[in-house]
Amino acid sequence: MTTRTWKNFLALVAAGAILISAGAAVADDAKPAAGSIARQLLLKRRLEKIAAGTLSASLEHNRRQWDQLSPEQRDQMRRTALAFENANPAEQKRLLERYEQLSRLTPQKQQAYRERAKWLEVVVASFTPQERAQLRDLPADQRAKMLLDRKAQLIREGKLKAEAPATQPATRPVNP
Amino acid sequence: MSERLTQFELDQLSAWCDGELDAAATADIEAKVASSAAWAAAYREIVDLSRTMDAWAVRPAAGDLAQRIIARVHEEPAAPRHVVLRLVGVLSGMAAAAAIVLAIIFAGHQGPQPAGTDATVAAKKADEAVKADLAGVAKNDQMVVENLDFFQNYSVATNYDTLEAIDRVENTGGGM
Repeated sequence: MTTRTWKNFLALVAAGAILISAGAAVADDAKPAAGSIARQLLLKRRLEKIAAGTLSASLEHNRRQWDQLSPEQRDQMRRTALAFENANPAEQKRLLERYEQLSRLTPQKQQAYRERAKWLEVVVASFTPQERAQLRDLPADQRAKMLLDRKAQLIREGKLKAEAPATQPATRPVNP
Repeated sequence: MSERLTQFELDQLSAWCDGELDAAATADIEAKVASSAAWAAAYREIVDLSRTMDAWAVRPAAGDLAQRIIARVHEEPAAPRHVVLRLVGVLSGMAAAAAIVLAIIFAGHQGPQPAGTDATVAAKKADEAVKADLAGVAKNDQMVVENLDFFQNYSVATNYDTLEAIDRVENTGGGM
């Protein structure tokens, strides 16, 4: 066999091995593709942290948090990262902008938003898919009122816990 | 042409900005940027991102780090990993196998890659810094850990507009 034939044979063997684990490998790798808008947006975020001198502290903090997560919580974060990667570029940009908006709020307000996001999932899930589509089309304030009405109803029915009075934030304020 | 570029077009544009395309593809993208408002707008957006990177790149690097990284870029041409992953998502079965084999074979036949722009070098330097700080974290998890603060607040970012409206309604006494 020539060197090239051997190279091609080895490439075929490698391809076989890759194919066996292709599904899992692609699903596990949450890193956005090189050159994608998601990659550029995250890179911009990284460079802003470098410029602000906060990258190292941020990495250290995130790493400590990661070490404390359970395997299930880590999987959840990986799924979230994939969801971000699979969102369309406009949505990816919107999400990072909204996160930056969140980071500019006071720590108390950030925590209030996180608490609301928790019950919001339960409340939204109580609507039918058709109702959810209608909700999405409503003006924001009208949608908010309907969600608050439904939340109150779920609390009355014992399907949702009433919120505890606001306390100190459980986690560090976001600092993108 | 639609008003927004597709993900593939954005990737092509980004690759063009990084000098990764061959002559024919380069001419094609140049023509599109010159003649299409959507392409021109997307190009400006990428240039803005690159300026952020360049602003960081002009800062003096410690020791000979930049030279060592540039030397490594020349020594180890990057495999077209994102192309492989994208193809795996599109193709299936033997078609995917054939594509992977071709990618591996062609990767081995590639000549030296262009050195890249200052922005590309800056991005690579930043990548090195993050990898050093996240040493010990599984490679596939590094992006998740680096952006853990964002992913932990993903549901807030996703529903930010609704949460903001709920906050408005609650604070104006319109809620329950």
